[in-house]
Amino acid sequence: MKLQTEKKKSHRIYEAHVVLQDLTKHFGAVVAVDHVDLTISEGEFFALLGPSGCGKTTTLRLIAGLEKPTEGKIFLGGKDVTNLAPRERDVAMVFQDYALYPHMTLRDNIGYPLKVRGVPRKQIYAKVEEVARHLKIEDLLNRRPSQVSGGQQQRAAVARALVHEPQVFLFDEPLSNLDAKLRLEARAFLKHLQREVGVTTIYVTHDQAEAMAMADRIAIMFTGRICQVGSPVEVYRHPLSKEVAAFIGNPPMNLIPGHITREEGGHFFIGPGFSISLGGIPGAQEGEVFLGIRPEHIRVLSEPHPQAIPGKLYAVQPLGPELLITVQVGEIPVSVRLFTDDLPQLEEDVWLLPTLERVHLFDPTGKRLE
Amino acid sequence: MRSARFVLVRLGFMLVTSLLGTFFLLPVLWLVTAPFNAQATLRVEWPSPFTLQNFGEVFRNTFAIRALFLNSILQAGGTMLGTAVIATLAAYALSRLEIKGRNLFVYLLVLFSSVVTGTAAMVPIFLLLYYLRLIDTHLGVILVLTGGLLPTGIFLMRDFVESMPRSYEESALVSGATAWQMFRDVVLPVLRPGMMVVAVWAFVNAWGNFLIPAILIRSPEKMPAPVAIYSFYTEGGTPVLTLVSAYSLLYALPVVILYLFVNWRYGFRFFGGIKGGGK
Ligand SMILES: Nc1ncnc2c1ncn2[C@@H]1O[C@H](COP(=O)(O)OP(=O)(O)OP(=O)(O)O)[C@@H](O)[C@H]1O
Ligand SMILES: [Mg+2]
Repeated sequence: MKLQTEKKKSHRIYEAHVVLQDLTKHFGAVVAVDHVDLTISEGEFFALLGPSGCGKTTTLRLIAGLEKPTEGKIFLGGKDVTNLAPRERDVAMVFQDYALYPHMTLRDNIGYPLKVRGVPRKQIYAKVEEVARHLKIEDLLNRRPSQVSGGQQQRAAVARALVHEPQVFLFDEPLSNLDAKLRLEARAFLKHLQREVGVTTIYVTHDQAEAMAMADRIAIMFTGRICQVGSPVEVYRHPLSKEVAAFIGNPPMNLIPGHITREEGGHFFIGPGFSISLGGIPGAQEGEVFLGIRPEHIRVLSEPHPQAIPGKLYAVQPLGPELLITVQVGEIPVSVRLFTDDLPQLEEDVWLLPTLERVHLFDPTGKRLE
Repeated sequence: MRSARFVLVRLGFMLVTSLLGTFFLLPVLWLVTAPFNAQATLRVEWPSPFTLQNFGEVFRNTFAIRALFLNSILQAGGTMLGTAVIATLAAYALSRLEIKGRNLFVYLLVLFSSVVTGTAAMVPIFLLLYYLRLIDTHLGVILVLTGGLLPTGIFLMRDFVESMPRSYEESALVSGATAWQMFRDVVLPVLRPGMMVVAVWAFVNAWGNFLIPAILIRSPEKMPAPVAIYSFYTEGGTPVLTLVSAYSLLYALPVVILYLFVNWRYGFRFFGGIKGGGK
């Protein structure tokens, strides 16, 4: 699709990216966004991920110009836009509720950003047709938003964002109103579309799977602060804190409290009722730690093993292509994912064998030990 | 057993509703029969002898006809316009701007609105309009009526504004609209059903108001219908039922027509009615 003119595209490579500098937003006593620094490159699909209430929407609204920062600066395409009105920023936003105007047809809804820019009616309709055809909603243009399905509304909202060729796309949980099946479809659709159009995209979600699946890079946010920024693989393989480790992955990483002692033969992890050798794991040092291991990096044995953690079988959930097994280790439930569709023959006593190279260690404050 | 009781309850319910219905229906029946009766009384009866004579006589009273079809329309129409427009703007501002104590403000307004157009305030209102040189003008009547209706109008409109998601306005702003474009293209159309409710309500209120024009209007050629209806009374103060009923029927028509028009054109959709997204 030729939504971008060549000239605009080449011009962008040097300029259009998003820089947040020390961005802070207070609502009375609430600190919604707390000294956030981010640099987002040209054409990047960037996800802002975090639990509910962590300040994702506020960050997005600051970029759009719908909120005024308490502190800090925002640059779009190299230009300081901190004090500019939304209409002077050349961004497009897809709202969680889509915000399609109920009294307008989809055609007028999608064409609205062009209309307010004074584009002649004929050109507006031509452009709307083009975008709508691309998003496969060209047959629905004469309908009102209430007369199309949720998925179609979502496409119309995306079309409206696309139509005036903005510098930056902002998405605020655009898939949260869709049912599970449509959501998977829409993920692929949005990712494909973003690649094709090549517009810098900031995508807010609280769904880690969505962020992992779609984004080039992810920023993980807790209580207004950015904890880690990295590619999906980086944040998955190398979480910088216990919170990030527990937020990414489904089910989340198992975290077992214990301490490390040093004996001949290296470091040992002493957990509730067991002790295993950590070999030469980087970051192993004596003291209190959390041992983190992802459910997919554990094997379940039916016999004792010197390197395995003993536990009691709690539940087995067959999910089709994989099995989800929960084992009690002392007081702590440990999840295990097995990529098989054969139900294993397991007694109540089981032994969990972690893949040592995939073990993470965190200090009591939650910081990663390297 | 159970079904017998059910039938009894149904019967009782129907009886009560029929009684209530009759109570409210009787005046309406009178209004549509008496004007065509050459010898109308206060009883509801089939017109005999049937006649259109009463209307002929009403139309010969140019003072009353002018009052109904010019003065009342002007005054009620002006009040309708003023109330709907100002209530919408004020409700929008009160809902969207961060003003401390705005709820208290609206409640106080509503509380005192009945005072403003009530009998108690008539002397100050008269004096105020006298100094503004608005005694005996349509504008004076319109301003006083609008002032009295606005608080409740704002209160009504505020519910409509609050039920409109802010994301509509925000998405318009991010799409590149100026504040005025956003208001004209998005806010006003979405609020239109609410404006219609307030407009019709204001019209009906102004249309039926006797006290304000009776006090503020001096010259007969500016008097509205509620005042002019007294020209169909005898010298002794008793109504000439044939003429009063005919005039009353004419007097009721504009309100009915306005209601039907608005209902047909926009449909009355009360609170939260914008959710469905229009027809
Ligand atoms: N207009 C506002 N006035 C006061 N507090 C606000 C306002 N907007 C947001 N907040 C607060 O700021 C914090 C961050 O809110 P925000 O909406 O950015 O969270 P979020 O990460 O988008 O959450 P969610 O996933 O639930 O949408 C919350 O504690 C919220 O209560
Ligand atoms: Mg949010």
